[in-house]
Amino acid sequence: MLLMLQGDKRTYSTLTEIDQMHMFEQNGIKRGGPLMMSLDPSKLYEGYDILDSFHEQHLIDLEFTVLTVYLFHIVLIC
Amino acid sequence: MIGRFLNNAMRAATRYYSLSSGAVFHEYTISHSNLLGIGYISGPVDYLVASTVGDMRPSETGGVALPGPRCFLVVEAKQGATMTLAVSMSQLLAQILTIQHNDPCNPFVLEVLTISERNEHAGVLTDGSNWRFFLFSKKDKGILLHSSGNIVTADKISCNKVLGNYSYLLKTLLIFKVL
Repeated sequence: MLLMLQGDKRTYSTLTEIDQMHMFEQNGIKRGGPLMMSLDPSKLYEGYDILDSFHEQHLIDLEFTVLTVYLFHIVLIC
Repeated sequence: MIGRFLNNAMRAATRYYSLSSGAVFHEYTISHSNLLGIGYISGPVDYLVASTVGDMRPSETGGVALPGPRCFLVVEAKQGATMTLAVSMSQLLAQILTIQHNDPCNPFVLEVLTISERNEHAGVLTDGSNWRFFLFSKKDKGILLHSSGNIVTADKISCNKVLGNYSYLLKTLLIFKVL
């Protein structure tokens, strides 16, 4: 029984090309363009900037969440 | 070698962007209860570059840090010959989908309450000198996969040079900036 359970357990290192196809289909993954082909410093700011977007995104999330809760309370009071 | 690069890059990025915390976690185990197309899956990621819980800085305070809410990069280390195989990509893809699913920054409730949604996660396949970056961004209830092509850092760089050579430090920093 224990061996059967261990046999059923999937790990990341055992995934196959077919698994990859399933993940693409089931998760709605589409292929985009190239992320960045060069390390030319003058072009860096044209690329994606995850670190900055994390800061901005979280601030926006927080602001809209607070605003939504605030408006919800006003509606309740009214 | 990969760990050296990542540690240098994280340290430089933390300083450059004034991040509250940042660390490289090695062989960190993650799991997904029901990954679409796969089901339950678990296992260690080779390297996870992330903030730390409570912005803990073990180098200053001691103790053991855990990955925090911001996961910057999932790294899958491969031998040169296996880097381009589909199974390597499958492994990285599943790990990033798990990280996206486990991301506590923007749970479902927050997505409903806010007009913005969780945006991007990045991963890299590397053998230490060739670095293939991938960016996963959520759009229109799907995921868009961007690939970077190859970024070649250098061949056979000794650890001492990596630690002391400013140009390589800058290059690792630039890799984070590209992301």
